Amino acid sequence: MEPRRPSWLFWLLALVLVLVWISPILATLLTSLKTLEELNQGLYWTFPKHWNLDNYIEAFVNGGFSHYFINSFIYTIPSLFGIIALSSLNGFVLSKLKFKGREKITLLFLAGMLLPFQILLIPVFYLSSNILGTYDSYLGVILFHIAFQLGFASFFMRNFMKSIPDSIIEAARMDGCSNLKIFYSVVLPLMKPAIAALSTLLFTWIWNDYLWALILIQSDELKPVTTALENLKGQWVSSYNLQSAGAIIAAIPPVLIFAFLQRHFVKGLTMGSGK
Amino acid sequence: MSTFKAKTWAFILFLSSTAHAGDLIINSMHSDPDVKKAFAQLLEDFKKENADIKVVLNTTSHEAYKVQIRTWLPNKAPDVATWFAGNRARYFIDKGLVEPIDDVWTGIDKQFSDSIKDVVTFNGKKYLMPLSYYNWGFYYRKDIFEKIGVKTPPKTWAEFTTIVEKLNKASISPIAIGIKDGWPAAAWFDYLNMRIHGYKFHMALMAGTESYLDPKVKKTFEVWQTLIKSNAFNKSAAAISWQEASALLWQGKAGMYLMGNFITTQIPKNIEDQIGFFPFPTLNPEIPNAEVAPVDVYFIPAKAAHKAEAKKFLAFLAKPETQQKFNQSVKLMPTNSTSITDAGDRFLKAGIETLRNAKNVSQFFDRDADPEVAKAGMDSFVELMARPDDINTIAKKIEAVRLRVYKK
Repeated sequence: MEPRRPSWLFWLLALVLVLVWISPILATLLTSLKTLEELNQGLYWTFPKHWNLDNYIEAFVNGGFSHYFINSFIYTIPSLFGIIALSSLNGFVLSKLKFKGREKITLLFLAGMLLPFQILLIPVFYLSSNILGTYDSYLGVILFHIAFQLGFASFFMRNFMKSIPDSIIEAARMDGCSNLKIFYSVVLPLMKPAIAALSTLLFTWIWNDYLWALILIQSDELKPVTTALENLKGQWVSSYNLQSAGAIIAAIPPVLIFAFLQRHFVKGLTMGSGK
Repeated sequence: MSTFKAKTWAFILFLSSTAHAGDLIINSMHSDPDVKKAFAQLLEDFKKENADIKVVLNTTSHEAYKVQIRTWLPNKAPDVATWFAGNRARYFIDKGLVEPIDDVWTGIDKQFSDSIKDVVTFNGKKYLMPLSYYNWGFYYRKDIFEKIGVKTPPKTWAEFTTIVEKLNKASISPIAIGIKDGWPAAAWFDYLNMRIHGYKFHMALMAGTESYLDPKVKKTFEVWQTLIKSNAFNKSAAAISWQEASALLWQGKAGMYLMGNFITTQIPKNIEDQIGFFPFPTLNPEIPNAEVAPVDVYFIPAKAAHKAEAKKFLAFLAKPETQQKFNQSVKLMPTNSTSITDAGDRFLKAGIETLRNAKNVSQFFDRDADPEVAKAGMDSFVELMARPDDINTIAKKIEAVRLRVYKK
C-alpha cells in the first residue's frame, strides 16, 4: 500500500504555523534594516525605504559588538570544555563503577537541577565578590557556568553511558585496562553523539545567558553580547533598529552550531531513551 | 608539555584579571544613543583638563542598572555613579553608601536654584551633583487642533475636556499613551493629584505619611476614571510602549501626548512644525501649579577607591559651561542656573518657561515614592486604565504595600 499523501489541509496548516513562527524573526529582520525615524512613524511591517546594512555596521563597529562578541566566546568555550570534561567523568563513575552511595550522589546532582537559579543570586554574588574574589572577571562567570550546568550535564552523561553494555567494559578490564584508560579509549569514543548533543545545548544556554553576566560583571570591557544588547535600550529612547541588528548578529553562532551538529543532536537525544 | 602548562596558567590568569585599571571609574545608566554620545564628549573635555586621570566608563541600560546597583554599591563600587534625585537616592544615603560632597558644593551653591538644591540635600548634607533635568507636559498636533476649531491650547480642565470631546467626534484618539512599561501612566497620577490637591499633599503621599485610602486620593482617581471612560486614551495603550504610542501622534491618529521633553528628540522631520507644547492645565484654581521635572544626578559611592579624582570630576560637572554644552546637545535643561539656557530650541524655551511659573517641582512617581510602593502603584495605574470601574480595590492594593513598607 502506498503511504497516504498529506492532504491540502495539512499543507495549509503547516504554512500558517510556519508563518506564525517565523513572523517575529521576520519583524526583527525588517526592523534591523530601517532607520529609527521610520520606526518612530509606526512603520513596523513595511519594507525599509532604503536597503542597506547601516545598522549592522553601526552595531558591529561603533557599538563595539565585535569586542562583546569575542567576550561571549571567551565565556562560552572554556565553560563548555570544563563542563564536558567533568560531566563525562562524572557520568562514567556514576554509571559504570560500583561503590556505596552511588545512587545518593546521583540524586544530589538531580536535586541541584531542581533548584531555581534565582535563589542562588545573592549567595553566588557573595561568593564571587567576597570569598573567591572573582567578581567582575571572566573566570567568575566561567566558574559559575561550569558549576551550575554540571548537575544536568552529569545526569545526561550518566543516562547515556548506562546504555553502553557492561560487557564491553568488563572485557577491557579483563585485558588489564585501568579505569582511566577504559574511560579514555573505550567509553569516550562511544560518547561522541552525546557530547555533540550536550555541547549544542550548553553552547546555546551559556551564549544566551544574560542574568549571570549582569550580576557578576560590571565593566563594559568584560560584557558579553547579551548584556551589551540590553545596553542599546535607553532610559527614554530605545534604538529598536540597532537592537534588532545586534540580536541577529548575536544569534548567528548558536544557529551555526545547531546547524552543524543537528544530526548528532537528534541522535544524541534519542539514544539511551529506548532500551 | 611544560609550555602547554604555562600557556594554560597564563590563560587562567588572563581570565581572572579584573578590568579595573582606571583612575576614575564611572558607572552610568544613560544608554540613550544621544545621551551616550554627549557624555562621551563631556569625558573628552574632562580629559583635556585632566590628562593625568585615566577615565573608564561603564554604561548599563537603565532597567538593568537599577537591578545591578544593589549588588555593586555595597561591595565593589566605582568612583562615580549616576542615579536619581529625591527619595530614590535617600534609600542609599540612609544606608551610608553615598559619600557626602559638601566640599565640592562650597562656593558654587549660589549657582543652583533652591528647588534643585532641595533634592540633593539630605539631613543637612549635600550628597549629589545634578547635571540635567527636564520638564513634562503635553505635546500636541497643531494642525489637528486647528482642524477641530481649537485656536489656543487649553488652560483649564473644562477647556481640556472639551477638546477631548471634539477630538473623539472627529474620530481621532484624543490622548496617546503607551503603558506597557507602567511609568507613563504614573505621570497622569502625579499631575492629577498635584493639580487637584497641591504639591504638599502629593509629596506627603509619596513620602508615605498620607494614606491611599484618603478621600482626596479617591477624588484623583475619580477624575482620571471619568477621563478614561470618555474614551480619551487610545485603546491599544496596555500593549504598547511609550515610543510606539508616540507614533500615533506622528501619524495624526492621536491629538496630544503627556510626556517628558525627551520626546522632542524623536519628532520626525516632516511634521516638526506641527508639534506644539502646552503645560498640564489647571484643575483647581486655588492650587498653585507644581510641575514634574526629574533631576539626573551623579554621586560618589562611600566605597569608591579614587575619591579625590571623583570630586574633581563632580566639580567639572557642576560648571556652567559643562552643563550647557552637554544639555544643549541632548535637549535637556542644565541645573546650573548660570548656564545660558536659550539654545534656540522652542521646546526647551517652553519648558524653562513652564518651570519658571511652577511653585514647586516633583521628581516623578517612581523617584518620589518608595521603590516597592512605586511598583505597586504603577501596576495599579495600568490596571485602572484597562478596567476603570473599581477604584476602591486599586487604592486598597497600593495602601496594603504602603502599610507594609512604612511599618518597618
